[in-house]
Amino acid sequence: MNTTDHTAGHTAEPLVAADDVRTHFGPVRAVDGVTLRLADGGTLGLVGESGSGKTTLARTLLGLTPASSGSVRTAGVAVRGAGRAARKALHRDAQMIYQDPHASLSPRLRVRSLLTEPYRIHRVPEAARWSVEELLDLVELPAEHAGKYPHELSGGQARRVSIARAIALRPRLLVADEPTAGLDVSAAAAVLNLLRRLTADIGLAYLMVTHNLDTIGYATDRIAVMYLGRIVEEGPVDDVLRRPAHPYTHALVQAVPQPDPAAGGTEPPIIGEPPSPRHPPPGCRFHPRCPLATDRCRTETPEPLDLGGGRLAACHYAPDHLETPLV
Amino acid sequence: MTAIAVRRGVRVPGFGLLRRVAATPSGVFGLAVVVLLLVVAVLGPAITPHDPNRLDIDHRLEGPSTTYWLGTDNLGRDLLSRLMMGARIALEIAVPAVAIGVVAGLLLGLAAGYLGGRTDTVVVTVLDAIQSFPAVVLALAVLSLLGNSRTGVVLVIAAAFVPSFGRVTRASVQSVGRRPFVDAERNLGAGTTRIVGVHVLPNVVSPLIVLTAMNLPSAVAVESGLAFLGLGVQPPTPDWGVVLSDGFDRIRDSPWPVLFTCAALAITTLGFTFLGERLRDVLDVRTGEVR
Amino acid sequence: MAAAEPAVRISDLSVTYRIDGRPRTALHGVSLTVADGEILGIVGESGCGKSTLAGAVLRLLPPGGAVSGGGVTVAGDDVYALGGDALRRFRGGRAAMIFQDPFTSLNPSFTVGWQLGLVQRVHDPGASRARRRSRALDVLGEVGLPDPAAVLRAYPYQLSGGQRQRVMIAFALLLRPPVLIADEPTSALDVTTQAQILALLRRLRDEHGTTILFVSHDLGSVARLCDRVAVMYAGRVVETADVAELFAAPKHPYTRALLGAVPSWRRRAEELVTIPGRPPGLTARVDGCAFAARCPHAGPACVAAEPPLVRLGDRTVRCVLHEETA
Repeated sequence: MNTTDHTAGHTAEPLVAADDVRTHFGPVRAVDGVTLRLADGGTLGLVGESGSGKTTLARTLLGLTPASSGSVRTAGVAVRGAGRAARKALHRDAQMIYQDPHASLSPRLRVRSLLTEPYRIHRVPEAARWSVEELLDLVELPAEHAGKYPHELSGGQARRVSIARAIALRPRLLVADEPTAGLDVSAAAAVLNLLRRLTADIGLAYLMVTHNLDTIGYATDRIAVMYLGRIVEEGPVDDVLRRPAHPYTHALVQAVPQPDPAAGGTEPPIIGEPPSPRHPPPGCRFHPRCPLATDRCRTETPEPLDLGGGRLAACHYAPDHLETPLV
Repeated sequence: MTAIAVRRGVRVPGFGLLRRVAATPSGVFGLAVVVLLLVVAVLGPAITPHDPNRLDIDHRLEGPSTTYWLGTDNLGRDLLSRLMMGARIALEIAVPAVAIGVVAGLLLGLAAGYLGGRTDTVVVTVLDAIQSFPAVVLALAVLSLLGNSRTGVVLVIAAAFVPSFGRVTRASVQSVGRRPFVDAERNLGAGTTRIVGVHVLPNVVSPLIVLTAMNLPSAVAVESGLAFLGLGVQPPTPDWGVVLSDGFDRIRDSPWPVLFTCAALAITTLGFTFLGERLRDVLDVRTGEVR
Repeated sequence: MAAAEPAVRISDLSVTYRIDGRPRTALHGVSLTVADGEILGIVGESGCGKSTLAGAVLRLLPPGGAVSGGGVTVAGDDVYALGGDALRRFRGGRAAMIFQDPFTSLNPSFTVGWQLGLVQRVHDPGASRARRRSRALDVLGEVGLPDPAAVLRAYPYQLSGGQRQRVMIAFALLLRPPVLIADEPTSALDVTTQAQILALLRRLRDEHGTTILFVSHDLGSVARLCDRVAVMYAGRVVETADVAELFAAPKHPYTRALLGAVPSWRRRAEELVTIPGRPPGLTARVDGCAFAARCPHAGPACVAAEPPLVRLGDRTVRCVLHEETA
């Protein structure tokens, strides 16, 4: 494969630029006003509970689910209203690995065909391709897996094959939807190590979508926390998780049990479950579950506040929370 | 090394498939029946023990004997020879009819299932309309319009089978189309033709193969039924329906013609069904896995 | 019943499945005791036998599975000696199960109230309608459902995942069984809901002295909830210890690898530990230590014979090299 240097083509334009994106399914406001930037080579974790709209947002950014309003530019392509050629270019530059690795591999193709398919679709000349063996080697699979069918692979192996497929075209952006779902701890660890190494080696930007704070904390530099279709907090992983400015982020951090009995914390920080994205609460969407909610929160929708240091939080009291940490 | 090379050399895919089909008793039975039918149909006149239309007035309505293995009919014609020729006629009509049905049903089903929307509505309405006609009434109408030609029979039977192939294809395409790998392919940039041809089609063929195998004998039965009613193939052509019809007229004198014709129909049906089920198992790449 | 009998005693339990007509051993002589009011965590990767073990305690093995050695006693009574009626009263009355998937465990065609009532009618046929209803409402409130009366009228599909899991726990609590078996009860839930369910289980123990067998692959949940932990590998218990000791100083190489494989934003810089290879399947023949093939420390002693479970004070470990490698 030619080692075309992606970094050479860098301009000021971010790899992903989403502005006030909304993706609604009828009455369900899955994504409801998201503004997001991802730089070339950057890594962003999108975290949220089920129904937060994180997967829909990722799919919207890749043009897999059409946005209802707002603007999305991914890898230089205006995703909304992109024609066939632009779409194909987008698919070449932005790839996704799916939550269920077995279901996302065409069941009647052998690994060899699955891995060469991206090249056939995009008519990549032989000389510019990675060989099947090279691709398998990149994802640390022995070459004999080339002859297998997806159902003959374990969860971890199938995940590696889908990663190999996704990076075959050397995309600029990789979106990973719950890349460790359904894997045992050891297999999950191997996949995370692999993603970290690969993206560093290839210089790939990635967006990891997960409900698991620890996975994100381990694998990405920046984090965006979603709640009911909106990003409530964003910033460098370490800063955000160590010192959350939004009470929801704080609640999430507290809820994740640590593999350390001394960490304690059997009392849950927030109770109940998120309301339906059909009828998001007025004001701050988190206020019905927020232990600190005030009258202002119940009526006035908080806009993202720039907290400095690359941090944003959509909470009226975010600056206060940075000064006096949430407990 | 040599051993491997030799083994590779012998591995012609078609033979591997046959061997796997023949791995169970039902597979052997299905394969044997279908191969026998094909041989009889192809070689036809060359291997019949007697001329199927030669009359032997002295030996009318006889039971099985050393001369006439399955006996004779009301005009003293050799039943075995007539049934053998009948097999040829049956397949001559059933195979093209089902082939047309498969192709038309597959195309309609793929279009309806993958494109959805208005295409789907139109296709489903057309299939419903065809299916709402009882096959025999449809046949009567069409054949009286087109005249009693073999082509007419083929087309009528094909039309009668289009809805079943169309529906099965549409349902499988819909269920396959919802699976994440189709989305994953789209995300790789694959176009509709590639997705349908490479990813959807191979996943819908196995129900179609079973259906084809099941529909072939029913096409034979429909064809014989039409001939029995005097439509399509006409006496003295030794069609199974004609033989059956002749046999019914004289069933009190000799049950053999009816008995053996029915047996031929039943064995044909069973053979194709068993073969179809076996093929489905063999062709499924996932069969045998424990989940 | 003798006062010294633990709430649950699993003695040398072996379970065998028949797959394609051949026996496959899923549990190899597992021995564990759970004291009254203790929360014992059972951890291990998928296929290690932890769910089989959970099912075996209630005599709820999947079709094809059978106990091929050893047994289980609950409060001194041999579970496998109970007859039909006694077994029915035992399940639910003296020990109950909370399953991983709350949706498939509830009948979609009936309301929660009807299904709770059915359980009550079986176990307490004499109770009046009003008493059954008030008990059902109590239990639904106890598991933290905000509007118990509405839940009683609801069909399972009308509830969220967290609510369904709470309803399942309510079923388990309905008859106040002293022993609960929870098989991955929070795996399908969001973290905030998961935290609430863990807190609920903890409260049950603290307030009612319920003994809990908590099966999970999530080491974080185990650390947060359990008093003691048993680590399973390939159908065997490889280590048991007090939860604090296990996490602070794991003795078995497998336990160490498991702990090192869990990502954490608190340890971003470290490369995660991975275990090469896969666990031996049920069909594999294992000589010596089942983990030896994947163990970085394995030596000749490891494959010579199956290592015994060595007692070290309050903890046990099944590794011949535990002193050298620790």
